[in-house]
Amino acid sequence: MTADANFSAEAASGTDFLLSATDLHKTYGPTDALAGAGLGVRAGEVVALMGPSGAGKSTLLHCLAGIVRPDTGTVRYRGADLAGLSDRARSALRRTDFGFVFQFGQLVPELTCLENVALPLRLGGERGRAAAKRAREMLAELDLAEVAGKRPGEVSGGQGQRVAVARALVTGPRVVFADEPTGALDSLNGEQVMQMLTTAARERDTAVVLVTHEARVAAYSDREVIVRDGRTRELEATR
Amino acid sequence: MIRRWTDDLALGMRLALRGGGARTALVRLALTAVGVGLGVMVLLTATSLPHLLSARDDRGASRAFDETAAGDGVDPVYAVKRDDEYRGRGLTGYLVQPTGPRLPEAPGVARLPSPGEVVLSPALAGLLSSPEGELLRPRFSQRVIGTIGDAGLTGPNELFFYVGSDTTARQPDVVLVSRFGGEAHRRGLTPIELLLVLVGATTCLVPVFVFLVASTRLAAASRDRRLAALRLVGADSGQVRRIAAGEALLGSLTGLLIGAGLFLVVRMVVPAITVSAFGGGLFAADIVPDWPLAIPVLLALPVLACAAAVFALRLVVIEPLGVVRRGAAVRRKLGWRLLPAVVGGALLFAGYGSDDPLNNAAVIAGVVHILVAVPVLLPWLVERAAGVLRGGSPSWLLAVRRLQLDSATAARLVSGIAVVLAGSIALQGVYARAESDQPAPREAEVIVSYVTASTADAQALADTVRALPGQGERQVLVRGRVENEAGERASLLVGSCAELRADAGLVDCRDGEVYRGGRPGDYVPQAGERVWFEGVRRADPPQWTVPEVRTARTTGEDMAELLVTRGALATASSVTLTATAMIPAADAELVERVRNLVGWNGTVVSLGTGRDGTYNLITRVLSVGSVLVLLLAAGSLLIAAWEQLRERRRSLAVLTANGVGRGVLARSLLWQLAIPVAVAVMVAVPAGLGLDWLLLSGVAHRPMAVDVPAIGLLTATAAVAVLLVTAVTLPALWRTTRLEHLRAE
Repeated sequence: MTADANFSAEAASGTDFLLSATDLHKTYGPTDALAGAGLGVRAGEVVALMGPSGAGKSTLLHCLAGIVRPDTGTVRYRGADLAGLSDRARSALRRTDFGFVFQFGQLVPELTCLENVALPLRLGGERGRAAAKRAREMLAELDLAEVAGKRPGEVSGGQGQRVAVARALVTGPRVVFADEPTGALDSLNGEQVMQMLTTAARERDTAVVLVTHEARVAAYSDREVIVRDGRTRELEATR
Repeated sequence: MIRRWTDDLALGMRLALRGGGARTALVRLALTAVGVGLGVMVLLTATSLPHLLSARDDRGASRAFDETAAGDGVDPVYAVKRDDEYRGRGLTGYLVQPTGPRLPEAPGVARLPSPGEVVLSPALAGLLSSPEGELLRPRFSQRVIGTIGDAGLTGPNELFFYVGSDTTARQPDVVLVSRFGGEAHRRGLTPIELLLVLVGATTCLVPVFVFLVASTRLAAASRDRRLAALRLVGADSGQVRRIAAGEALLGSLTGLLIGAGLFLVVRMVVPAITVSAFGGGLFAADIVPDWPLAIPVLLALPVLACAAAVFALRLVVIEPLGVVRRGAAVRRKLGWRLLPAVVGGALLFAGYGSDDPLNNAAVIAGVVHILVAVPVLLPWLVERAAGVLRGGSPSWLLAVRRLQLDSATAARLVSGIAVVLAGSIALQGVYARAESDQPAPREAEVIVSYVTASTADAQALADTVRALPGQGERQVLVRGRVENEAGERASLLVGSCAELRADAGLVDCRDGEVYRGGRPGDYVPQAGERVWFEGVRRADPPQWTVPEVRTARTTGEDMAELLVTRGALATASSVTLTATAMIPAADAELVERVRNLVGWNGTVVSLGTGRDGTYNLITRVLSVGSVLVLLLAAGSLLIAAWEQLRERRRSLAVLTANGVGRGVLARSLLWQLAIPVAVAVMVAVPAGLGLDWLLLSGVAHRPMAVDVPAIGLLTATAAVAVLLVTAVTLPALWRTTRLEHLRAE
């Protein structure tokens, strides 16, 4: 059972949403990736975007994160329109308020796991030693202390994704965007990554926007939104 | 702000050490460092030239005769400069004759030699003690009392000497010296030498820069992925550019050190490779960069390398999701690309009429502009050339389509080769002109002059020369000059009646008489007039009272104002005469024997033999430099070919899986290299010839010279470079086309 959850302007302007999108349109050549999609995400909430391949899930996530600009429509974060922000301001947002976990981790292969986790802190201007200390604490908290000195190529896929989660959370973000975070993992490792991601996020009151096409991954969410043909529909039953 | 920048640069430097895997990172780092290092070396050497020239001039000046200095507390020495040769190498030195015990100080010499003594330069001492110097030893039979130190030499290999001789005072051009050291005579480069240096340096530097750019592009795909990952975690676009610059900065700083090291190596080897050039080679101590010029240029190189890395990102948008290349579909514009060529041509034409190109900034800027125009024009030309090509065989089709997709990379790759070719063609033209400007060797090239103290001595020399094998019929002229109280001078031709008849066509002659020669109006001493022989101090009494001068009938050319029989000089207290003979230079051993026979009492001057050592050195260095730079350009080609294979390994593996033979891929690779190189040659040849014409006719005011075989050789070398690069790339191609590359990440 689904209900039309295309986000209305009225809903988007509501103050209880940390992040909201209204009537997003985005085309790539002749293809409509988004055709009026909308979504609202509350603080600490885990929202799963589900749908078949090519439905527009990832494009929606990228628009929400300010990585991709929609052709039309509005994305607001804490009331501010992301379209009005400069590249530098959006970069700062990604560094401080947002975290990312993608299918292949997107870790910098040249840096060690510890350096990867410390990287957003360093880019934000934090001193090397202080950044390393916080990164080490984060790795320890996520039970990853033993991979700190290894490079991404030297750890397993599951460990790599968990390091990516650590990197996403180290700055204390308000929202973590996860695009198929378990897509390249076996089911056991996938379970571990999702468990870790959602638990850590909830402990920190961090919202998670999760793109997946797997129901068992979506099961970790508080709410599921179906994306099909560039439009969003919310699954009525929420956990 | 500053900390932010330094942090970003530092992060870039760390990534440079690790980027794309340790091996690739180190290769890229090494190549960038080598590129910058070569540039630094060339620039340091080039900026050392002004100091080098002035240091040599100063060294030469420090041992020059100061005829104006008063001899307070010093007993002056008679001194005369002597230039000699040994087997084509120049020997220079001073004959000295002390007038007292308090000798003036000469640079690098502990004590000036007295008659029978000699002081030698280390190189001359070494030559004399070697088997090669056997024929030279008779000229230096005196007792060696010391070695000349560096302060007294213009070069470490200079063959210089101070010979103590009691006949010095009687030598022509003798001077009385109380002090050594005078004004430096600045010997700049000749226009042709300057052009060789300018074109050579520019030809070396541009490919070095191209190599530098090529090296910064190595592993560009992995760098792009890395920068995108940084964007994802919050680096803004300015930060990623600084990080990219930081990656290039490490290589540049390493390159600065390598360049400094290479420059030190150059300083070390220069004395060894400049043995005969610049009159005895160059002292390493004189090769000192002009720091006010060198420091900005050196600092500019790392900045340039960083700028190249950042400039490479101009068509790339680095986004958190990856890298987007923009503007690929935009056709290149010709307009601004013609600008360097037009400006360069205009600047060179502006050099017209300038006789001092050393200070002519327009010429320097013009040469640089013309050579820079080549890589600037190439991308447009390669794009147009690739655009008009159509498909043929599968290998040709693959190559042409690849070039149409990305002609910029190909153009970049061959621009180094094009610049070397253009510069070398221009240089060959300047070489050819310089060569044709050399005087042609003559058959009778060696003039022997011998200063004698008596007519008997002169006769002895004449007899000895005639006694040499094949010299029996040689004319030996004995001449002299006399001067009266009023300073009027007359020349003498001295000989037996038979000799005067043969040499001057004297018809009636009797020994003991003097005959009038010369033209009406010439000064001729009168009978009873007392005269001095040239070179004799006027403080001494006159040496000869002229007897009656008879008018005689001569059938030959005017040889002298006075035709003097030997008997007429019998009453002279002493004489100073010069016996002159001309002998062929063909027999080098004979020439050396004549030199030994003459000793320091005479001179043996060779005309038109051998080539100037400086010219030889410049041409040799530039030839070697051209080959090295061509190798460097080929190296850029190789690096980029490897990189392209690495980036395209998946698509190449797909082609192989679909049944495309490796032979087809290999030929395709060959075409991909050969087509741009062919375009490069088509640009380089006219550019080089144009530069040659502009330099020779516009600046040096000489007719154009084209060395067609040399151009053919250079073009063939470029073709061979393509074949070699293809051959060396083949193993990488075989590895790349393995089917395991079909696997996804």
